[in-house]
Amino acid sequence: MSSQSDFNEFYEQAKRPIAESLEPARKRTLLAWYIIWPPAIIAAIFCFFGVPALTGNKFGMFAVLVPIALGNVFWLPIWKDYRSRYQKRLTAPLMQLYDPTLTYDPDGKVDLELFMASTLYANAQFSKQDYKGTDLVTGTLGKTAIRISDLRVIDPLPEKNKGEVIFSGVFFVADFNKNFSGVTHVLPRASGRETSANLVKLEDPDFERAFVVHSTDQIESRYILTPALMRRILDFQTESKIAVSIAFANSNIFIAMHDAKTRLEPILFISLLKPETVKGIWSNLDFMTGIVNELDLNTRIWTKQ
Amino acid sequence: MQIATETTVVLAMIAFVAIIMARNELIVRRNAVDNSFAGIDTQLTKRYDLIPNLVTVVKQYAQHENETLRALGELRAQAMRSGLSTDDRVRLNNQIDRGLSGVLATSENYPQLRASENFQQLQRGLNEVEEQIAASRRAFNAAVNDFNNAVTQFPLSIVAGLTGFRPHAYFEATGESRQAIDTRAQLNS
Repeated sequence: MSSQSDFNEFYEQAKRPIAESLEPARKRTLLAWYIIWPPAIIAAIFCFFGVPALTGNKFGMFAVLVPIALGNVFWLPIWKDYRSRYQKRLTAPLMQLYDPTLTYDPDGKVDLELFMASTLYANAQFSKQDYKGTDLVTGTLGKTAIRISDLRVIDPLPEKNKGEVIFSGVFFVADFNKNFSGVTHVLPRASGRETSANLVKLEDPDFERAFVVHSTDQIESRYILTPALMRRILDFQTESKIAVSIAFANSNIFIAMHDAKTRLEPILFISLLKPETVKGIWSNLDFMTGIVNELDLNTRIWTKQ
Repeated sequence: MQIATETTVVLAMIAFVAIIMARNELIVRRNAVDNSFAGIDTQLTKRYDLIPNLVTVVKQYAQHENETLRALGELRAQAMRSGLSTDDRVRLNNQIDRGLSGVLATSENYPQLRASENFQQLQRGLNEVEEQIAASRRAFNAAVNDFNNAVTQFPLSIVAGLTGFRPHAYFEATGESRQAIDTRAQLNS
C-alpha cells in the first residue's frame, strides 16, 4: 500500500489530466444534469397531480413515468460516458498506485455464491435479480486476497407487496490467516439476531457487550477469536462507527458493514480540482483495505500461508 | 385429611421431578467440562506428535544441542504415559512448553536450521498447535465457569450440595510457566 507522499506524487501527476479532461467533462455532465432533471421532476410532479385532475382519471398519475423515462433516456448515455472517463483517468490509476494488485470493476459485485457462503443471511429468501451491487475491488494486499463491493439485497416479500432490505452496505471478503472448517458468526448484540449455531461466551467483557457469538465449534471459535482479534474487531467498529456483522467460514472472513458505502462512484457535484476531493477517494481506499492491517490478516505464522 | 395427603404427595412428586431435572442440568454441564478437557488432550497429543520430527530436524543442524533435545524427548515420553494424574500432566506439559521454547530460541544460533523448509513447516505446525491448545484451554475454562455458576448459585446449589457436585478448578498457568523464560538458563542447562 502507498503512503501520503505517494498520494501527493499521484495528485501532482493527475492534476493535469483532471484539469484538461476530467473536470471539463464533469462540468458538462453537471450542466446536462441541471438541464434534464429539474424540468423532468417538475413535469413528473405535474403529471402526478395535474393529469388526474385534468382528465378525471385517477390512473392518470402513472403519467409521471413518462418524464422520468424520458429523463433517463437522455441522462444515462451522458452519465455512462462520464463514469467511463472518471474510472479510466482517476479511479483505476489511483487504485493502481495505491496497490498494483488492486483491480476495479464499477459494475461488478461480490459473487452471490460468496455472499451465501458467509451464511450470515442463510435464511433470507431472494432471487438473483434481487441481489445488486457495484464498485467491486479485488486484489491481494500482502498475503491476503480481498474482494469488496457495495451490495444491496432485497427480500421481495410478495405477500406484503414491497421489498425488505436484507442487507445494504459494504461487503468485504478476505482470505483469513488460519485454516478452519466450522462456521462462527459475530453479530451486533443490539441487532437481536441469532443463528442456529451454539452460543459462545468469551472472556472480553467489552466484546461481549458489543457482540454475540455463535459457532459450530466452541474450540475453533476461540482459535479464531483470540483476545487480540476481539480487541481489534472492537477497535475497528469504534473507529469506523459502522455496525458490522462478521462470519468466519471456509477459512475466509466475511464482514458486512451495514449502511456503509465504498464511495467509488464518480463525483459530480464537487470540483475534482480540489485535492480534498481526490483525497477522499484515497481515504476510502485506505479504509477498505486497511481492514487487512486492522485485523492483522497478513500475520501468517501458522500452517496457512 | 385426604386432601392434605394428596397435596403432600403431589408436592413431593413435584420436588422429586425438580431435583431430577436440576441434577440432570448439573450432569450436562459437568460433561461439557469433561468434554472440553478432552479437547485439550487432543491438541496436546498433536503437539507430542510434532516433537520427534522437530528433534530429528534440529539434530541435523545443531549437534551441540543433543542434551536439550534428549531432555525434550524424555518429557514427551513421560507425558504420554497413561495413568498420570491431572497435576502431573499439567506439570509435564508446562515443562514441555519451556523445552520447546528453548529449542526454538536456540535455533536462532543456526541460520541454516532457520532457513530449512522442514524446520519452518514444523515451526508453523507448532504455532498452530499452541494456538489450538490455548483455544482449548479457554473453552475448558468457559465450561468450568458455566458449571461453577450452576453449582454455586441458588437453587441448583442445593441440589449440588445434596448430590456431591463441587466447583471445578480452572486451568491456570502455574507459577513456573508464568515466569519469563530465561533463554540463557535453557541453553546452559
